[in-house]
Amino acid sequence: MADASDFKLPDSIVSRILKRSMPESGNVSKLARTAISHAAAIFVLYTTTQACQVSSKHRRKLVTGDDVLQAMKDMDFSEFVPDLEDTLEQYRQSQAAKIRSKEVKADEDSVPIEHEFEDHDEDDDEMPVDTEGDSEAVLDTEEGIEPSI
Amino acid sequence: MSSDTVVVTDGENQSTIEVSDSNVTEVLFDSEGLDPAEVVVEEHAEKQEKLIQFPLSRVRALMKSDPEFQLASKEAVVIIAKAAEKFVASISEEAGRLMQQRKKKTLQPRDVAECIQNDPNLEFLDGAMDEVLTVQ
Repeated sequence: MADASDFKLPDSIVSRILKRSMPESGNVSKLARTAISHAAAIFVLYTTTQACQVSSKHRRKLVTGDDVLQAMKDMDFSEFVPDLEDTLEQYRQSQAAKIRSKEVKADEDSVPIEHEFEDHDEDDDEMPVDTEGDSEAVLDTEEGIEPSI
Repeated sequence: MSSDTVVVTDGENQSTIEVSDSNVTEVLFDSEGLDPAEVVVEEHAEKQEKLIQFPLSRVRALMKSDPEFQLASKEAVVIIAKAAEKFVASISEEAGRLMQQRKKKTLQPRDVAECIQNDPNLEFLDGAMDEVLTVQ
């Protein structure tokens, strides 16, 4: 069931980032925090729209990490891109490490394992995956796979 | 056994941590959401920091409210989450500067409003911010 809090970002995390970015002696009024949180939510929506346009240009329904990076440039937020590329790389490494540790455990248990990727090449990372757990399901599982419009 | 490395960062500092069969790789769940948001390696980590702070489930919920949106890779959600964090940091820094110019110590909506007005890149926020920037 959706409620209003589904459409904004957690206040505590916004506060944490806010405090780190401001001069040390500064306080933040609750209204200012709400305003920034709201702006960040709009930013996510706008980025999503832009990234969808990038993937449409490639005749794909799937929005990839690279589409988002391109969207950042299209939105004139290119200064974000280097850090985002770093994050992407670290994320990929952590996912690979997670798989390898599962393999090690599986070997020890002598249970045949199913790899999420047979060959770990770049395209596989763009497979839609469910964000809750390791199942190879598409992100919008609640509604099922939507037919193309 | 061979070991591999994972790089963990908090945005400023990096630690390179060796993952081998002798240490444990755990996925931590962000307390605000239900999704694994990062991987932390125990025992050898000097600095355990989350790669992404915003819960991926919330970011995904926002993305889904766009009628054009259908599918995204997990990587796309991760990058959007990180970009949103950078966005918050960026606006906060600039609004904080404006607050200091006013010789004040508490950030107010007016600082956020001024920051948005001053930056042509933030035009996409026009019209969407009225209810949170209107001074009562």
